[in-house]
Amino acid sequence: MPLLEIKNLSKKYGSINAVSGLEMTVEQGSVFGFMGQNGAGKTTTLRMITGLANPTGGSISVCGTPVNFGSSAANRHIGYLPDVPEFYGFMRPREYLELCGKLYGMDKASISAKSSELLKLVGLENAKRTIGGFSRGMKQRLGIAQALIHSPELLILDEPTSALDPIGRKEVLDIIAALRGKLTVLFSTHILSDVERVCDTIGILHDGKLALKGGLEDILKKHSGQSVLLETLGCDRIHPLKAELKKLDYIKDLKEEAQGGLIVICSSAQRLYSDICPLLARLNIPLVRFERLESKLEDIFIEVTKDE
Amino acid sequence: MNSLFVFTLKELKEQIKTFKGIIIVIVLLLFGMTSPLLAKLTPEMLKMADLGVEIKIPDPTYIDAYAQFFKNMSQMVLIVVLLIYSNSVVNETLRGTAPLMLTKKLTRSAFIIAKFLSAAVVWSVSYVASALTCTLYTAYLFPNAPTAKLFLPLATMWLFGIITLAISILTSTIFKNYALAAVGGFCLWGLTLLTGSIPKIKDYSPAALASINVQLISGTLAPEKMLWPVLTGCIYTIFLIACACIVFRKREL
Repeated sequence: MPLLEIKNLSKKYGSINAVSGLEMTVEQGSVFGFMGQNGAGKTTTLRMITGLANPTGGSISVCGTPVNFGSSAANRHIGYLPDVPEFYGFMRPREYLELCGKLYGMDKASISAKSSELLKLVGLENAKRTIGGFSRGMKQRLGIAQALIHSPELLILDEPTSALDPIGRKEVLDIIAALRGKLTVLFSTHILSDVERVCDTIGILHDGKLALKGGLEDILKKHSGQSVLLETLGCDRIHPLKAELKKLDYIKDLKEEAQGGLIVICSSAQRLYSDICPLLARLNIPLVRFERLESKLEDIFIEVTKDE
Repeated sequence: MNSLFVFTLKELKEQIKTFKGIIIVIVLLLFGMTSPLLAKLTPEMLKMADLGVEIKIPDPTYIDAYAQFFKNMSQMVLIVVLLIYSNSVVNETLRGTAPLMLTKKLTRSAFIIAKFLSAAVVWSVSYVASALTCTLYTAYLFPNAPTAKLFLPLATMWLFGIITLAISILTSTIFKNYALAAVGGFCLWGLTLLTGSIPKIKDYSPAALASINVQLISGTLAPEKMLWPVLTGCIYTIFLIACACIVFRKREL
């Protein structure tokens, strides 16, 4: 049984469909990269999972417990870090973690032990000042600690690195990487390199629906070989070649590179391999280089989220 | 229940650390101390002002001291309290501290009730200290002042303060910015006071809790007359808090 199960979830704001018939599952133990463009509905979906927003339709369950808007019943399974976490500025980090632990009904000894462990994990064990004086990166790290205080089965992180500097980003990603195998992580982001670094499963949200889902390696393998780099002798020859390639129905995109280079993105590499040499001969274009490119997550993301 | 208690304690701690609670204690103590003093010194001050006309002012009594105290409470102190607490919920929703708490095992109703309870504790402590100061200082300045018959008029003003807190919590929940919450709270508070001027309902209105305290001390009003205002005041408070809980449970964060 999946840890998180979303069925036919929808959310409307007036006439705008933020999420529309979303079907999604997150398996236990995975680090799920929940991707999508800005405004794709990622944060709305996460807010519905945590019971902060009211779905227009559909259902959500976490560890078999149904999520109901405004209810805290499913929250015992969830640790949640919003995109811009805000804390009580007058508190010190340990005090805040103690408050969170008490709200979960944990006993004093467990709270103390868990707080020490988590403050060490997020590198705040020596931070004695109040949270009001924390940098954004420190707040983000404390946010991860508060989300883990009750040892949840599912950790939900909403764009935890988007507003951080490179060092802060690395620190947060290192923490997420250290959690791999210990719990299930649902990690929303539009920073693709972060996904490649820590996630093993990805889902791309587009137009309120999950446009692509699967293991990161499988998806990369499946899409590899769909991009080819062609390099011809002389830049002027590239234009007639582009015009001819555009006529082929399996060509998805063409990107011009410097010095006569052309990246061809297609849906069938086999057909391109058969057609390219006769085409070049017919146009009398000397070929300098032909290289099968490894597929990047960025290409896949652009392909999936490209509007028709 | 546990989360309600934990969050109420956090609220109390916040009110001390952010000086909100301390400001209320100081303001109330100040009015508790200055009310009898002002009553005692007003005739002297008018004499010293030398306005050019002869004004005959009767000697001040302990009744004037309590009248000054209740006037200050209902006109100034409660407005300060209303303004301070009308940002309590809106502050958490605007700053974004509420979602982190509400994604724990804290229910939305417990969140609202904890806000109200902590405010009520601060108000009660401040008010008791203020009333005690006023009573002792009045007894010192007016040696013939009786201490009997004081409990009911002081307690009814306390209850009106509790109603004021409930109003501020409700408008802080309904409105999504500081200014609207404060203005909305002030309007609802004013409307509540206005019900004390409507002939058919004034005897039942909770507004009486803040307007006929002096009559109770002077003995011109029977204590039984306060039964209905106390009852409607309690029901009104519960109603306001219940409304705040319902509104907050339907609010997306």
